[in-house]
Amino acid sequence: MGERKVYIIPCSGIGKATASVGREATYRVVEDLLPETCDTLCLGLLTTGDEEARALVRHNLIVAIDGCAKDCARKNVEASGKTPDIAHRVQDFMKKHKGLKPEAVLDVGEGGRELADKMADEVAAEIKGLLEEED
Amino acid sequence: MATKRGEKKGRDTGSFTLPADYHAWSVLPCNGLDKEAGALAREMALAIAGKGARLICPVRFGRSPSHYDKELKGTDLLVIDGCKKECAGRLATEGGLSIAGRLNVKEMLREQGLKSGKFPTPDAVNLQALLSRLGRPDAMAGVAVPEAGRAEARAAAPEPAAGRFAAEMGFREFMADKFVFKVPETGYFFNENDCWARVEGNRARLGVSDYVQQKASDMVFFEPPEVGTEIGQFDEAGSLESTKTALDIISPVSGKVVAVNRELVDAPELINEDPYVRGWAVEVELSDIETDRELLMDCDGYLAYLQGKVERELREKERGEGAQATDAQGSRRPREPARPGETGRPYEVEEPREPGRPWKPGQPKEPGQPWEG
Amino acid sequence: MALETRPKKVGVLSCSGEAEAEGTIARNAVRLVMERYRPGITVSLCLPLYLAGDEGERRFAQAVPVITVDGCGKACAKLATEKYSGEVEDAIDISALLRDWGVEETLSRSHPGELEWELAERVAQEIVKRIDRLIAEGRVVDSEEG
Repeated sequence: MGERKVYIIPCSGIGKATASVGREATYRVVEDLLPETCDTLCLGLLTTGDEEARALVRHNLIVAIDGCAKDCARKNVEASGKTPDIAHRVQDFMKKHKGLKPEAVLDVGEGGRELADKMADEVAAEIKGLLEEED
Repeated sequence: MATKRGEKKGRDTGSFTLPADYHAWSVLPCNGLDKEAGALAREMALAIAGKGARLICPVRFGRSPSHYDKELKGTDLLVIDGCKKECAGRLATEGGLSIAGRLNVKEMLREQGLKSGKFPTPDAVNLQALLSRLGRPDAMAGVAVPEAGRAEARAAAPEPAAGRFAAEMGFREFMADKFVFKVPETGYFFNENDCWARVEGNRARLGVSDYVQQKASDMVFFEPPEVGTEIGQFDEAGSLESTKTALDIISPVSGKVVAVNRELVDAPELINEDPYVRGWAVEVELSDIETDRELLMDCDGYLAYLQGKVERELREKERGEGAQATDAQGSRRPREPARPGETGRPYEVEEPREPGRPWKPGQPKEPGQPWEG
Repeated sequence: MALETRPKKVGVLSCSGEAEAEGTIARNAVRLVMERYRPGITVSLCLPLYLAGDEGERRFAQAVPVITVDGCGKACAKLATEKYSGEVEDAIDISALLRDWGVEETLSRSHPGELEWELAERVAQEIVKRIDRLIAEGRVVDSEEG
């Protein structure tokens, strides 16, 4: 049986800077912190019901990162037949790290980048724990 | 209110005292069949049910949540998960249940220096260790509760009279652009800061309107006033911070703070979800509602006021002037036609060029000058 | 006085494909149009809301003419709009545009640099052309008409 990967799926939020933070945190984990075990995939593919994407979601470990209470990432993953193994909202991390706030959608600013970094570190640690349980 | 998402419940080891009255609990275990921890969760749930708690089958609940309405009504829900996947907790949350306490079997074993067994049946030593913990309710570390624990919350803020603010209510809505704004039909008073007071007898609950929660976006912090504080009409009655802005709750009425919504401290997003009922912030004992009311709008008045305000904001947004866009974050510049070279580089979108010629941004060129490869 | 029935907004919907650089360009281009080039007349929606949201969101393409901006040939924004919401007024495929423009460089999805922002600006202008055409055809009320 092939080893399972971790797919981190951020929401596609275009109206909120918190969605941009979620994406930045995702890229940090996937490209810098855990590139061997993690990847991302386009949420839009789940919305359209792309079979390849749905299969990836069902057969791998999934982390959903949402930028607001609409929970698009989590709900689209669930609609593909899988409950995310880890699910977060960026707002949860803002509560933990008061004072760190993103500035704008196109450029989250220093506060947003620091928040994304902290989020990435915590999510990466959770993912490591999840992978240890898999072993 | 369901447990907040993303919280590492079960990993914290806050102390908790399981009440002697097990009949006050419903218990929902996970259904882990492939791990010993799941089997232990089941055994613990059965043991707690044996002492009088109501048992909720996770599979049945997943298929038909309303089946357990009777059991869940009037009891507090204890969730027992086997591992970090927290399937029972997720099931409860997705089913809209409020979780009063959690146990995590793996955490409890770890605290006692034990490890899960390799087989999906309960190891006798592990089971004995966990069941003996149940027999000592004063030592139930590992049952994590929300930071504002239930007992603590009740002590700090006496519950208002039962049913006082429980009445069902209707809303009127109006649409502006792609936004729909809700205003209660009756029973609320508003000030021009878009804060409301719902008066019942000599008390009022205070909060912010649907317009505020939409404009401010996701709430992340709520700082309540101290219980016992005297506040005047239009004084601050707590502060909120969202992902976009910080704002004060401006009290429409005068009175003394007798209760604050502790749930809101842990879950400020309640304001976004339900700004007029579960998103209440502060409860006051009124000092002079008759005088205060003269300066407030009733629901009809606020609806008309808000419609006018939103229309003005939209017109300003279309003109690119003044008021902040309700959903956009970023620079606000007067509307202008797209100009070539907005980034400073002169180029023409319509410039004819041969397909396949490599793009070379940054090359200065005169309008009309052919691209150079 | 004639009853005005034309919409006052144009919907622009990006695929926002997180895994691909073209998705990042699509998202940034739409944001540029919303914030700088055509604020006030442009509205957008997060694509996954078609599934995660409610009827209000799914009525998006019925309420306004929608231009979709997709990063690649999978055309998620176009497909999802047609599937859940309604007809698409116009569809932009960024991967096709990049081929036409002869862009051969490898682009970054996570750290858009000078080239990626240039391309987002160009795509934004493609979107603006289409919005302006709708206004010129009288399909959308320009707020400056008064």
